[in-house]
Amino acid sequence: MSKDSNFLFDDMGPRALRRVRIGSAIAVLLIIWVLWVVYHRLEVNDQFEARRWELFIHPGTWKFIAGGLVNTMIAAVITACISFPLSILMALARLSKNPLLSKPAVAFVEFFRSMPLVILVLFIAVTAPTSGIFKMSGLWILVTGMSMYYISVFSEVVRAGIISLPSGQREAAKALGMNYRQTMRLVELPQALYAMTPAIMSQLLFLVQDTSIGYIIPYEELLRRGKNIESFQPISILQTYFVITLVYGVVSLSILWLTNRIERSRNLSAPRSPKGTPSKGA
Amino acid sequence: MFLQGAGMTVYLTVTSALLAFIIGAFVAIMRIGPIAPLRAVASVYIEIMRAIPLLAFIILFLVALPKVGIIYSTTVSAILTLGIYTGAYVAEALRAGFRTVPKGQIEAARALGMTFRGMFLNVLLPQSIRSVIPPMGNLLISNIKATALAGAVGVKELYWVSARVNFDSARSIAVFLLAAICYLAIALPTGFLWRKLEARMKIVR
Repeated sequence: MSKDSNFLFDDMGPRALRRVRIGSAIAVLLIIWVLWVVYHRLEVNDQFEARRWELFIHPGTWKFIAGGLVNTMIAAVITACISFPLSILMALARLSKNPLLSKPAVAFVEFFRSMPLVILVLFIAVTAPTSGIFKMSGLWILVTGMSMYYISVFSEVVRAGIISLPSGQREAAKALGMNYRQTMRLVELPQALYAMTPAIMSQLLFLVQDTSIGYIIPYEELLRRGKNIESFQPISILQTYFVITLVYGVVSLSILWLTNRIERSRNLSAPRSPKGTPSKGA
Repeated sequence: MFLQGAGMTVYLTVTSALLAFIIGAFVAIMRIGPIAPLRAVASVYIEIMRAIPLLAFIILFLVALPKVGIIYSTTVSAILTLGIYTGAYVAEALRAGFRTVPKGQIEAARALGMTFRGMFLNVLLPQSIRSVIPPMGNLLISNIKATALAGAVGVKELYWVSARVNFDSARSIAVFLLAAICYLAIALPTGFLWRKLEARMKIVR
């Protein structure tokens, strides 16, 4: 933390140190006060009573929550596997010189990027056939809606990655006699995807979190399971959603941790920034 | 009905975006400032907000809290939750912006004897604000979309209206298209205006 800030000010003298110490003390008091207010509000409303929490002693509850987590992950993985490859094609289409390819791609991306995901998912849920051969389960409704959205999102990331490559790369590949497909597959895409890994990872985090929209269809993912627990045990509503949010937190933090690890290992192994200096944040 | 919904969406977007900016600015300053406890609070806050889905956050505050007797008006809570959630991302964007200012400038400001406040207001902020405009635009657009989630818990904005009309009538495609047009009508001009602002504020080196 202090790594970010230590270049912003000099080593402090006695007066500044004293001031910082007083500030810290006041800050700590403020934090304690805020926490106490929150605690007090909850206490007054009996939210710490054992009977409201005892639901979470039973292993059955945790099995139920774990099942929801598995469903969340299934939806996220399927969506990622569908949308990521298609997004590369979409990015290439958008970058294409042929207007028959690029214009529809622009329209698709801009449309689905400016639509809230909930509306999209709701629309698919309302219009999807509920019977017959093409019957769609909650999972596929969610995955279809999310894929549309994340194709657009990822394609923008990939496109930005390709655009940001120095044009010399493309020209050199051309000069070596490579055709378009070879240039893309061997030169441009690998570098673009490599450069864009952090952006892709952060979108993946959003993707996992967005599966919570399954709540409205309903698809039995984590948040929906929370609602089920709540309707089974209404007095534990706040506790239930608190625990569910906590589970989301743990999942997201592990993804964030993975992202940081990837970035760190990249910074150590491949100092790609100018003049061989490892890039900032190493 | 759709116009009312669109009005509510715009209202939610603007108010929560302003709130998010204020929160984000404060948190970003806390995050880089010299007071350690505030720095810790800021980074914990940012991590928590990044780690939970907005819908879970909204349900926790707009569905669960009122049911246990802690009640605020739905619209106000929606603005608060959206503002608090987006505020964390604003803070992150601002911090990334602070980092784009070359270290040498800050050292130069210090060498000239500027205080932290003077350096911040006269050197760091004016420059980083410009590099922060594009990510802010993205946050604004995603804030427009985020308001739709408040509709899922009963704030009467565009999503709520279209879900409502959808259940009343069978013309879901028309309803969907109408909602889509409303959102595009809000999001696209915003993006356009933002790009204008970006072009105006660009640093010409």
